[in-house]
Amino acid sequence: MVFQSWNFIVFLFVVIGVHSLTRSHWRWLILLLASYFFYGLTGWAPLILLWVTTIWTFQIGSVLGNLKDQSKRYRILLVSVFFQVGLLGIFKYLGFFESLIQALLHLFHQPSMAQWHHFILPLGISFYTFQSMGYVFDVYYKIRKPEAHMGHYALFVSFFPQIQSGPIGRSKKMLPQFGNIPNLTMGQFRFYCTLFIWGLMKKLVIADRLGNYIDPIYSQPSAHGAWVWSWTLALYTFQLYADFSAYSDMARAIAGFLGIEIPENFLYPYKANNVTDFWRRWHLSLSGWLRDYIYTPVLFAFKKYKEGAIVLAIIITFVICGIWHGPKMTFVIFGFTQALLLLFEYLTKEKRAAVQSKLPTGFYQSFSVLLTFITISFCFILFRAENMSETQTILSEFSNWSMAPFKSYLAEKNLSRLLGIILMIVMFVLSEERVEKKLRSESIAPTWQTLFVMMVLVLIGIAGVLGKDEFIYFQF
Amino acid sequence: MPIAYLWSDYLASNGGPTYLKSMEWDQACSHYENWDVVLLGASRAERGYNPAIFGSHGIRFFNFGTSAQSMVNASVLTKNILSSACQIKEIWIDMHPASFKDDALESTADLIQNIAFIEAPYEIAWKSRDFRSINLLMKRWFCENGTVTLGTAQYHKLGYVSVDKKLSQDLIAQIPNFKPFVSSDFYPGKKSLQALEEIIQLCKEKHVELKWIISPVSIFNSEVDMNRLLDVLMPMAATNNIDLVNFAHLEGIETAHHFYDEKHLNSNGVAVFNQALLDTLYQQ
Repeated sequence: MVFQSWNFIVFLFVVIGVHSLTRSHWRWLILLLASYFFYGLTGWAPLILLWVTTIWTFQIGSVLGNLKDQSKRYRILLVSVFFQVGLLGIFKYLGFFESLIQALLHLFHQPSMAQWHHFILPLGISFYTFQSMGYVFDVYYKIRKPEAHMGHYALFVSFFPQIQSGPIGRSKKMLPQFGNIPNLTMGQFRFYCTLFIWGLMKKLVIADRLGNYIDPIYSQPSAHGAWVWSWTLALYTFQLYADFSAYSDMARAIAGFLGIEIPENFLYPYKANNVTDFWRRWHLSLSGWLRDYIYTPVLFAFKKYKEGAIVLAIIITFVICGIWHGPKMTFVIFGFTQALLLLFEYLTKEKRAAVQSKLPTGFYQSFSVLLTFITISFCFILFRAENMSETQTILSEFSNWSMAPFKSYLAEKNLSRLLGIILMIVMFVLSEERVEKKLRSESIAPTWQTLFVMMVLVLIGIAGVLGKDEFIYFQF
Repeated sequence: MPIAYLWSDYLASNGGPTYLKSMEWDQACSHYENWDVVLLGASRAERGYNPAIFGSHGIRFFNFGTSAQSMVNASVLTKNILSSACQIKEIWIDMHPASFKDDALESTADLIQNIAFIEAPYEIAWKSRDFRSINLLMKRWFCENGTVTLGTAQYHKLGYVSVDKKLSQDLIAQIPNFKPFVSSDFYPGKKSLQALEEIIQLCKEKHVELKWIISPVSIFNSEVDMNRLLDVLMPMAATNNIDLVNFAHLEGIETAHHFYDEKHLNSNGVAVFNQALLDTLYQQ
């Protein structure tokens, strides 16, 4: 059930209705039942897996909270991590490992193995596994006490606005909210309505419309030439951002309607002036999780290797980041490429600062933003391509800089429509930060807010692409 | 009295906690030869670490946190503290984004007026590259025998300033609906990072162990700023073998009960935090 479907809207209205009629300290129960109903629609097996994860991590948290012996606590943490990563591995990565083994057998001229049994990927497993692992880490590092209320914890793992694609919540911020869920004020209600509509606009008007220009090129990747591909890669970067940030905005709005605050996921990533900065702005809930629970422990565990520790920590973190996105070699290489770029930036920090000091600030800043955008767009080939051979096909297209394919592309796609797309992206980039800051302030006049919502709805009516149900990040 | 002094709108009075702790350090250092920990940092350090709690576990601790202390000024203080007659085992620095802003006249003004080290005020004034600092330095020369205002802050022994207040009802009411900051212009200043490198070098030369502590933050803290600071601090700490103890989100600390304003722990919060710090460092 996707957020923009009528089924979901009806479901949400029912939940909000029952939720608002319930006493504030019992609202968690309504939300838990609604979350299990919502997730249960994907099948019994995924729901049982969700319960297993919930009960396991809750119990591990309790044990860790009561133990004083640090070495025992460490061993229990390891067991917990192995169990959860194992579950994730079985359901998400079995096929990947099988294909790796088959490739190795093929390389050494050995007969292929019989095919393993493959499970259907449970929806949102990467998100709720990381969220519940984060809770275990928080208890281990004594950032929080173990949760005493099993119901609140179950809701933390399964909360329906975020279970499909995050944002990955933190126990310290989310769990305290479930004890006493307040009524919504009129100002908050208006704010979350506007946020939902804004997210819907990003999805239907920007992401899905851009998809119409991207999908045909990816479905037939050869013979387009470098110019068409450069344009498509730029569009895909905006599409990915618009799609995922739309989902995040809508998830935040839905959680907000139910009195729960969940974290924001983006910080205008196309304004990043280097790749390091990009990762401080992109998918904040995942990059924050990786920084706190992978990068930092690895960095300090290997600190005796000095610079080597940084290299190791960055590579491990970003390879995990890549693998988290899916069981494909393209994601592993995507993560590794990001690690190399970050290391390059770390190692050339002083030289780049020297160059910066010799150039006009405005020029250096604009050039850095453009270069970062191009670099990230190029890396996203790995993110979108189905496999390595498709990636190679796309890369080989960059040896053909002839204008002929681009001219025929322009003729086919209608120049005025393409100009419309460019105008739409420019308008979006220029206005987004200002609009979102206004929305966040909650201090705008109701009339202005209503007018804004009406305008956005009209825009959706005119330019929205209906019928595409899925968000890109559902596959992860 | 110089005319320049009268023109300035940025004055610091002679006195207050910085004056008192500076005087006390002079005496304490000559009285005890060995000190386990000297703490540096801004007001979150000054009001967040109670030497009496550490003292009850046999740790001789002096809190040299001063109001709005910048990293540049912390490096000058480190140099002077490490040149004192007594032996110091560890320097701790309370890390917070506010200390990494290169423009830090509040701290400069306070230290120029009140610090007892002879050379430090000149170095602090010189490093600030701000005419107002020279002006304040002149005030110090000409008003050396002026009246000392001790203020109303609850100054305890060994540099600690406690605040027993609770969080205001206004702020408590904001907690449930508080929206975290997502946007910020903060990046650690270049001068501040250079100063931090100087502190690392000074400690290495004197064989003094350096520890960086992040004390608990309230719900009103900017996570974006803190993460940007951590992005810089973590590689520095790892490559220089410095312990970075991050208690920004500490179990048992709640904004409503353990802070007296958006940034500072009250004495209840200090008790919980200092005990956790002791437990962690004992385990290490």
